[in-house]
Amino acid sequence: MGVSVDSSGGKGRKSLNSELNLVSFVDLLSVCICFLLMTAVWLQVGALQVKQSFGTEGEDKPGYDLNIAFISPTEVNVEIRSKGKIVQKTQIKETTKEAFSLALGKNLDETIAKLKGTQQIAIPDLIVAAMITPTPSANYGNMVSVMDSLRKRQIINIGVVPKAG
Amino acid sequence: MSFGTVSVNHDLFAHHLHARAKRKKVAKKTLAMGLMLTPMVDMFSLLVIFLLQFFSSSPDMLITQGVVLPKAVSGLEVQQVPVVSLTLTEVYLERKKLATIDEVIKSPGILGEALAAVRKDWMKVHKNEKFLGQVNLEAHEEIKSTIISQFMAILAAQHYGSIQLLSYGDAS
Repeated sequence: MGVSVDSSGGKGRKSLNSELNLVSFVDLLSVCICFLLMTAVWLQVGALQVKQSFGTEGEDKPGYDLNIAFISPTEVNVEIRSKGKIVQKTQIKETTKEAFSLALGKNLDETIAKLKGTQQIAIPDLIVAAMITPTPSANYGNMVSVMDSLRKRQIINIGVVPKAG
Repeated sequence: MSFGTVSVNHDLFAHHLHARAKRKKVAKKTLAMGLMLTPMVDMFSLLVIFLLQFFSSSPDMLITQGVVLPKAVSGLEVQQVPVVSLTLTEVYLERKKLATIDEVIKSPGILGEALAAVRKDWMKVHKNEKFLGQVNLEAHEEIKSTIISQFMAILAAQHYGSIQLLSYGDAS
């Protein structure tokens, strides 16, 4: 039992004092902690917001549009457009996913710095939209990796071009 | 006091006994400290409450079996909105199987009609509110990106333009 009742009261009366048995309580807490640590969820589910429009084009906004077209899982063409005209075009081609992520991140940082120049402008106002064109050889994980790189750099208005394949 | 023919000085004897007892006490050095159970129990209780509160998985966020989400660190909090799940071969809407991926690609109306029904039910319940078109898309990381883009176009055609792509991130 977890509680022991002191029965040393005089004249046949039961004492109201009781002693809590801490040993079993500490055992129970230890088991609870071990169980919770083993079943703890260390990875949490997050959500990447994507705005997908359907139908007519949106109004022209000042700023640049970024297009990333997949050629293969580790090769993309990066285009910067302003009012429909191509301002800058680069190709990123690597052999591994990690090298590709690093190269894409570096390219995005350099592009943002170049477009920003000396202007005091927020990145969502500088690059107003980013579109990703998929390819059958690149999977959903590759696409999410590119979106993650964009979101890390505060490019939040991301869309995906519908493409069969 | 006298004992037999020997007389014993009472005060001196008492002093001797006292000094002997004191020597014994000093000689016995206590090496082990008592375990303080009260703060230990307090700490364990706090630890249990902390672990229960912060690391329990929410039943609403159970991932469909067969789906391995991609990893992303910049994910935001997940909203409680309808969930479209894509395993490598099958399509689920709100955890109920709809059809295979190939069937939906060939006839998008299968998913379109189901989404329209969900939207209609929502609008019946929320009569005076604007439909925001939010949906969670939970897909296996190995699915082709072109298939995902086609599903996103189907969602957008059914007025679900605000798509949240679910991903795994590090617990913050």
